[in-house]
Amino acid sequence: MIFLKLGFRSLFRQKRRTAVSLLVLTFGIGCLLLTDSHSRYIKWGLRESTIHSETGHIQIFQRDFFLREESRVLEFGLEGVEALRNELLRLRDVSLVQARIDFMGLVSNGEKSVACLGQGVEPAQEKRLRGLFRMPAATYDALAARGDDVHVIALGAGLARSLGVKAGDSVTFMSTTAAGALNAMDLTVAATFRGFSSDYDERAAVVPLRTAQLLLDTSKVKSLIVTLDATEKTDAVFDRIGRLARDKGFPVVLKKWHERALYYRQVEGFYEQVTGFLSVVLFLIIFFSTSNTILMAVVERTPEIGTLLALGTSRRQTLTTFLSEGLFIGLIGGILAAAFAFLATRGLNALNIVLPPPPGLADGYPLSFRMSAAGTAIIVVGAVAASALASILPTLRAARMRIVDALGHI
Amino acid sequence: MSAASAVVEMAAVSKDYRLGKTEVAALRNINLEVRSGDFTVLAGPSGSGKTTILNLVGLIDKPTAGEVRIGGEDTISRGPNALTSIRRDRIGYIFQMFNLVPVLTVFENVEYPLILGRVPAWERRRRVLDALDKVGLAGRIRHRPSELSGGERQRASIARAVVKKPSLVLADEPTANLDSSAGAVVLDLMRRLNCEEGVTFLFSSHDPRIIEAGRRVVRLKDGRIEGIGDNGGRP
Repeated sequence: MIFLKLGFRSLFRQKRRTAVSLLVLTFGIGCLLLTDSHSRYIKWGLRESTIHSETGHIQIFQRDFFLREESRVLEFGLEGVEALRNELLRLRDVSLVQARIDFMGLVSNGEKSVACLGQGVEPAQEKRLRGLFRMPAATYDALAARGDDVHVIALGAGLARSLGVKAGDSVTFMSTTAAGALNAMDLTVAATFRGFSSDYDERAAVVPLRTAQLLLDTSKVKSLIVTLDATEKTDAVFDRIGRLARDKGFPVVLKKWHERALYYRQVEGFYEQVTGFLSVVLFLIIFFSTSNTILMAVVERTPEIGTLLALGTSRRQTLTTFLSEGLFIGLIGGILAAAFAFLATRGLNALNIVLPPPPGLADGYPLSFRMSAAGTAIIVVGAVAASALASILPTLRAARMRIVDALGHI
Repeated sequence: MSAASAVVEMAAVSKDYRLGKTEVAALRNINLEVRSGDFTVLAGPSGSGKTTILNLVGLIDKPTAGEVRIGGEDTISRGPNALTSIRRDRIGYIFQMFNLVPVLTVFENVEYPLILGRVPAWERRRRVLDALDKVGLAGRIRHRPSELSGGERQRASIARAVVKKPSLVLADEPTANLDSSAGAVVLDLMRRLNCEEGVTFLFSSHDPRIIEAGRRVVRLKDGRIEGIGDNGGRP
């Protein structure tokens, strides 16, 4: 205890130097916490928006879907999905089950035809899906408002611009049926929409599921999208659906959301690299700052170290004293940094700052933060460990001093 | 005097230092015995070897040749941990510059050797207060060393040295940094502890007034003992 007391009180001998060290630590760890919190926000936001706009939590495909290439559209689509949907909706934690069809086609205004990526959806379900994460769903409002009308389409803003059409205009959608024949439908543009990127906007078209099935002349769907009340339950529900499919004999294969979210995985990897690089840089700064502080303390207090050793203090006890000094610097710096980061994230979140859109994307994104207790604890403990580690070399120097030399040190 | 009652025995001790390429003989063939209850002063000019003897007896340096025995035990072959134990349990130090730990209070400074000796807290408190009372610092226990005068600091240093009841107290020029009146108080205190408590002192000085106070005077010159004499039974 006396050695910890000595280590702690020694922090206040050179107040200015300790203050500078703490400032470096607080700012360094604080910046790392801010970066980590922002990265967490981006990953969380992207995860949830990906799930609630695209992947759901679990996707269900026909068993052979990933084993072979389809030779015809929806060759490996799901049939008779209503029975499976009803079973799924009975499961605990399942909020929503919806069907989708992805297909390709040409959309024409009579003068110009543009290749597009069509998606057949259940508008009311899609609207609910987005609503679970408070995402805009105006595209689906317009489609849902048309009820059972199958002659409607929503076009990406870029695609509509390319065709020179607007809401209320007519277009013709052409595609090949599941049997390989050519088919076409005249559709009314119910709305235009903006997606996450301008590239997507220039190619995307959304139609009601039934419209897509009429165009493709099929009753199949590509997949069922299962959405849960919390992303954290994905693994548990995934297992439950797997058991259900086996028990009831549904010929399906399941995929978790992140297996189908390539963009999310790329962004996650990018932010992990950025945070990792920053962590290394900031931990090096912490390491050298603390090391310098402890080294200066050892040099300045050499006669005192000699005195303590002469009085019968062991080398191990001397090590404890100086290591505790480094630990205290790390601990105080960590706590101050956590407080700084907490206040800064609260303040910046309240300001609602929107950053410009990254290259290739249509919208800016908010400079928001999502602090995590576990993440903060890991970073603070890491900083304390780095400080302790930084103290080891100078401390060993103190513990190995010849007493007679230390006492005579000026 | 039998060897059993000797606190310190130095036999044929030499100590050489290397200064650059030059070998300097700090001590040559020193034979010295300090007995329990002694009040021995090492006298001599600067460079005569007083501090080197104290360093060797205090086990903070090793001789180039010869034997140093503390309480009859050979110390030369002992490892660092054993020497630490001897310093902790049997030897008290009083330094010329006081060497109190500035971030600890007077009480904590005096308590420190007892903590090293794992003395229970209640016993530590009793002994620290007793030691501080003896050196006249009972009213200054919560003060930091920087709040004390030079004389008070040295008295605190004496309390720290004697609180663990060592078999030997070493003092290197204990009054050199004090004015004459504070020096006299410190010297008087050391004498009193020697007479009343039986504390064995081995200390160094080049101040004739301090030397005069020693019961035994070991005169050193150029690293050799010139002579050992009694001071007429004083103090």
